[in-house]
Amino acid sequence: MDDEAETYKLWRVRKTVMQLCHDRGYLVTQDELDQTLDQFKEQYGDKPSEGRPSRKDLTILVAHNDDPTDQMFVFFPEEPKVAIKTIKHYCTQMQEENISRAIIIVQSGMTPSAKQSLSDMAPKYILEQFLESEMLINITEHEFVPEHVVMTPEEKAELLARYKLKEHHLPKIQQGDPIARYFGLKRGQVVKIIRPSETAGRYISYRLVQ
Amino acid sequence: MYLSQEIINPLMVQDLFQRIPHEEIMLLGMESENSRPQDLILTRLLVPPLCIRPSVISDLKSGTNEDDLTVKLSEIILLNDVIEKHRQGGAKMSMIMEDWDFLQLQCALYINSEMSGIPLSMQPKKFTRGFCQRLKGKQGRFRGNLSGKRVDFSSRTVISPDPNLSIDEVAVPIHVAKILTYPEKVTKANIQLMKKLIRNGCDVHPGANFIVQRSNNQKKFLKYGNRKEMANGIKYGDIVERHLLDGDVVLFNRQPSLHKLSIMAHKARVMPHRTFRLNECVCGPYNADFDGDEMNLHLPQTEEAKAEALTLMGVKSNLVTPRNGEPLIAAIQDFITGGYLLTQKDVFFDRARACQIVASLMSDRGKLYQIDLPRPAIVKPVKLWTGKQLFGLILKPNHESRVKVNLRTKGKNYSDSEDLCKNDSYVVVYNSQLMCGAMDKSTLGSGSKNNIFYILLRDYGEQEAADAMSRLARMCPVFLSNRGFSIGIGDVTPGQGLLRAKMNLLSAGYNKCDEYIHELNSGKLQTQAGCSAEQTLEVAMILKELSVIRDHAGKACLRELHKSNSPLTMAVCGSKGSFINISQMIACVGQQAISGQRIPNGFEDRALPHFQRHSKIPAAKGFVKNSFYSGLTPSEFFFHTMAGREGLVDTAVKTAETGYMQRRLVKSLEDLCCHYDGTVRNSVNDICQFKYGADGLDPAEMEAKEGEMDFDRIMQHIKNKYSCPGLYAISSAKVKQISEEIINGKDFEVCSDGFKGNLKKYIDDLCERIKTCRKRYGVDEVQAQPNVLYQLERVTINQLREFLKMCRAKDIKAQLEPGTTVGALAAQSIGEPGTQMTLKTFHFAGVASMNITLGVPRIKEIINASKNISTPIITAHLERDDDADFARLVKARIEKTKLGEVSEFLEEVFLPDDCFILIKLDLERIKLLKLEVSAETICMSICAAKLKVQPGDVKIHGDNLITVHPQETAKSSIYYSLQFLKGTLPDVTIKGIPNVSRAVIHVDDKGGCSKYKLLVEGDNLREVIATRGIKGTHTTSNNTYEMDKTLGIEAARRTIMEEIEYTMKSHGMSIDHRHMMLLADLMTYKGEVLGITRFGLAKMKESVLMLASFERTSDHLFDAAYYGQKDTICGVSECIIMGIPMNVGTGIFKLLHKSDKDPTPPKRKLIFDNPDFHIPGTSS
Repeated sequence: MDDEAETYKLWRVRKTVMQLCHDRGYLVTQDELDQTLDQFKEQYGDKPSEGRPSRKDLTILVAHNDDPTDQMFVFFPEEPKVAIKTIKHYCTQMQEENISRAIIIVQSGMTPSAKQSLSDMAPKYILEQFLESEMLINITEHEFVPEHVVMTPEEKAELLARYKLKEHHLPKIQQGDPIARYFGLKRGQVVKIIRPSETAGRYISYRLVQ
Repeated sequence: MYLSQEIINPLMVQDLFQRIPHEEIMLLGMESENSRPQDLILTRLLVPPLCIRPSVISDLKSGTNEDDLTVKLSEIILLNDVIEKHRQGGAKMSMIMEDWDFLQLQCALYINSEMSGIPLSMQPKKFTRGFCQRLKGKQGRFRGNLSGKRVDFSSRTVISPDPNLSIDEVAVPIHVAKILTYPEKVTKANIQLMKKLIRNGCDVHPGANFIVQRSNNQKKFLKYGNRKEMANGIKYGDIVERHLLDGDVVLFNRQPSLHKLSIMAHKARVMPHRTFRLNECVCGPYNADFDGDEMNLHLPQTEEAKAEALTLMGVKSNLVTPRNGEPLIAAIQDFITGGYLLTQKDVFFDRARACQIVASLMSDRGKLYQIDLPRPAIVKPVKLWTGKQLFGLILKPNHESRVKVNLRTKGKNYSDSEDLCKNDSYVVVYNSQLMCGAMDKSTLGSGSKNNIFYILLRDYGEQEAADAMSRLARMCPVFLSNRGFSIGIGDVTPGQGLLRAKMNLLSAGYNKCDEYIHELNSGKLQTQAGCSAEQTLEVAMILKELSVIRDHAGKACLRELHKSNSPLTMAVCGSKGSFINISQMIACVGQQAISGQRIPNGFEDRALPHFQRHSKIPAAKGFVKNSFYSGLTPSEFFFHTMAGREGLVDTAVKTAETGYMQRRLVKSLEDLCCHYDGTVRNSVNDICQFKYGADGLDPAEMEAKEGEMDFDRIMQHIKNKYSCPGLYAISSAKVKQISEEIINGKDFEVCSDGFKGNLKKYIDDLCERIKTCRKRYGVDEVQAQPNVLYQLERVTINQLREFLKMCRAKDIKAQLEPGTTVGALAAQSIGEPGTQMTLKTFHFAGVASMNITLGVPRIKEIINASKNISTPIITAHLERDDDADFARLVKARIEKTKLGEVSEFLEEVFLPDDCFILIKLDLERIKLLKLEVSAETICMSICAAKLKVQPGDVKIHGDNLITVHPQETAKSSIYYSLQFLKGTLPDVTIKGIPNVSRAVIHVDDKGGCSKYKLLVEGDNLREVIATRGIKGTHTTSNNTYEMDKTLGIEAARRTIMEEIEYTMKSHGMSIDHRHMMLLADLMTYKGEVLGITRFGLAKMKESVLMLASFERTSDHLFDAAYYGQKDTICGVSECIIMGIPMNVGTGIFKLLHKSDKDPTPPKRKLIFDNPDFHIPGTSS
């Protein structure tokens, strides 16, 4: 693949990742969100085939808005199909820096054993994987995807009280749903969905992650 | 000894099961309290009592006919005896084992006679009905006896029309009235009547069949015995089973009952003769005609049932369909023709005729009201009334009537310049007077919100609308039969002018076709994107050319035929038939098509042997140039029957298909209903929607086509109704101020913000209009003296207040009532139009080659949530949508391109020391197609393709030459490798996305500039979205599964809604958005897209009874037994099965009562705990 297309791709992926971090509540500067292709080239170079930038250079570390100790890594592995070795490597890196969350942007997939290792580490180290092709556009900006807002436990309790509901009565969203993955939702969380509506202007719905 | 395989017999299984420890039963999913695994092995058989398996004494032969179960049981007993005998007789072990096997089989067949896996030798000879067969299927216990039951107090006979009945009446024959009875309680008010009825007895119509005395609950038949005595003996509280009387509420129904309007409550009117009669206006909702249709009539048996039926199911309460809020009960056929002819400009009546027609209005029995004849339109030389004046009497028969209906709308044949329309098709009704315009289908018929009766209904209530419609139904036929309206041979004989016009049309069309055929033969035909030349010719050129001939002929008919032509009149006013029908009768039958194509070849290279082979001329492919009047030639006739057959097959197939679809829809949506907090929940209280349809409004109450109400029309109505002649117009500032005050005030607190916003917006527009109008004519905004200029955009204080009051009232009325079964409404609203859809499946999305499945198959695909839909299409918007070159560039990135398509040649080259395949790339073509490939990328593609080619084997020589060197392997020699490569290399994909077969550039010419977008055929949304140059945020697929996978459940929900809406719209059906929204919400509320199928349903519902009454009855029952499931009986199906009121509709109302007493009654002591009852000395 030629450099131009590859650079473009990396720029888009990085940009979406930045937006994702921002939407999850991590601290991302406005400059990074608005970065243009030219700025990207300036910062990282435009010859991916020669390692400028190599994917390693793109690694991001972000801290949460509310709790600066809550940090998250974003890794860009070099190899197309990520093997368990790379995962191990990332893990040690996380251990060293005492960080429990990470996102891995894989190019074309992961070996089954690597996937298994992700879920094995689940409670202590949360690693999420995304495909590059998934990150080329930000799906939350798609015209068919309404705005999703993650609710705090207090808001959730208020909602359940307002409608006199038990948790399981709410409409559901799966944990593996692309949007749920984008926000890194956990089971039991509730998202507020603000849909545009022809009839009523906007319409608010909720979904429980299951 | 260790056997690899062992046949274990039931005894061993039972033994194994018995040894399963109690604690581990839970792991099997069984409920351990009541059942243990060994219970799954039958050790005894239940023998049902005789009433379950009756033995019938045969008339033909001696003895009895036994039930299948009895036969099977006796067989089992016999086998047991045989085994016993064999055991005692010391038969061979294998014999006994065989008997035992056979016994087991018989026991299994006793329960399920359609068991699979029976060895061929043991197959039962004759089909028997086991227990499972009794339960399952349409006639089975669940669907045939539990969910639907045969009822008493019902009747059925042929229907016929009677325009003299009011629309909410039904005429019941005396014969029927004497059989259907109502148990009426004797009270002080009705005792005299009851006595009379009893005296009349069974055989005289207003009579009674039985009396039940309160004292002894004894039922006495009134046919025999001394009726006079019995009449004198009745007391208050006795029950008289009296005959059906005039005014009784009855339920009237016609199958198929596809929507709630298929069963409505009418008021009975007992009449002689033998048919049920109804007003023709009510044919619409029942979909009834009088060609021998039969209908059912039921008589509700309690006062509650009567009251509920009348308010919820009454004809008057169901004038509009909840599908889209359009009126369904409206004038049809002759009523429309009559109304149209009556309101023509040239219709005048002298006093006698006018009175005669007006008198027809008075035949309303029991309601003899006065009719005020208006002042005649022409006074001298003779007093004449116009038809329009008489029509006004339908709306407002006398001065006492408070009805002041106002309407301004375009009619069916509206041309231009409003009320000066040359076709007189701009209808203006001013305070119930028809000022101008001829009434036609759009103002009288169903399916239009400009219907005059609909306006009446909205502004003055259902009673007025129903009365006016009944008046129309009496006046129009009287006028029409006096005037005379019939059709004869003269009506379908074309004149010279028409014949000439037809000839011109035909020859022009034929010439065009010849031209196209010639172009094709000479290879000059411009092909359309993605089509071969032949296809282009067939679909895009000839078929289009020939189809329009008939339409043009229809237009020519309209032009050439005389105004008095009956078929023309009917087509013009919309009462029956279209211009195409006229054109077929008089001018030309037109192109016959089979599945959207010209008649295909049934013989070798031709459709019929009357034509030359490969002939593509119109006549050879099914064009009928004759009319029904001139007569069809034999070949034309044959083509016509072919197309006719397709239509018949279509309807036959469609009914079964849509019926099943409807059933599934209803089953899955039946328990959704609107609750008191505005949420839509199912029977187990899971929320489906937080507010019905996002705004909580009733689809049946939507006045405007889009949106809740048409403020303009309401304003106009108010202005006409309250002319306020003495008052001055108020300024725009005042309008604003007053309305703000009212809208923000207490009265409007009940209204939603959305509605208030819309209302405010309208008021702002109004102020703007007033301002500009005043400015234009240079008058002060505040009126100080009388001036005609203030009549423009005049609004007075009173009018404004009335306007806001009316809007508020309408908004409150439009709010959905708690308890409304929105689910069932949605299911019916989506299912019912399905039956009207023609099964013609394909439709072209702008480009001829891109066809999309439509119609019933598409709806089926959507609601089944199929993963592989038949025509997946991704609509991709481009980052630069005005650049054709850019579109082509992006297309090349997406569309699959093979190596063979871009190479000049692929040759095998043999050199003394080497052999390889030489590929020469066609660089010109690559450039033309805007492919972003080079020799290097192609090399990589070749290596990546699974051809066992190593990167070292592919070499590049210059820009356009590539060599591929085959390698000798253990399996094949170098020669075979070479041949293999030669065969497979052209198919190597060098560019594009897998799973995408085609991409077509779609050009949208709107407003001068062309907009380009891509239509991609295939299922790989994620890759397409990720493609550079595509505007990913605006790219959608029509495959719900794909959308769910790539964009999440919310996007899938949106897709379901849009796709159903699109499919329905392209068939000309309008369905309220809220129904689709509810369906989409139901399909996605579990977090994944669930189809409306038995699999999806099983995930949505928990109730066993409900699932068993749907499909796979016995499987669900067995499962329920195994897992020990409980059923809370809260859903609709379960409640029907158990025969208890359900928790939707009026059943949602619950009385919550805080009791002073302790709700749990004290536990009664066991009798044995009482020491007094103990025998002394025995207990410790």
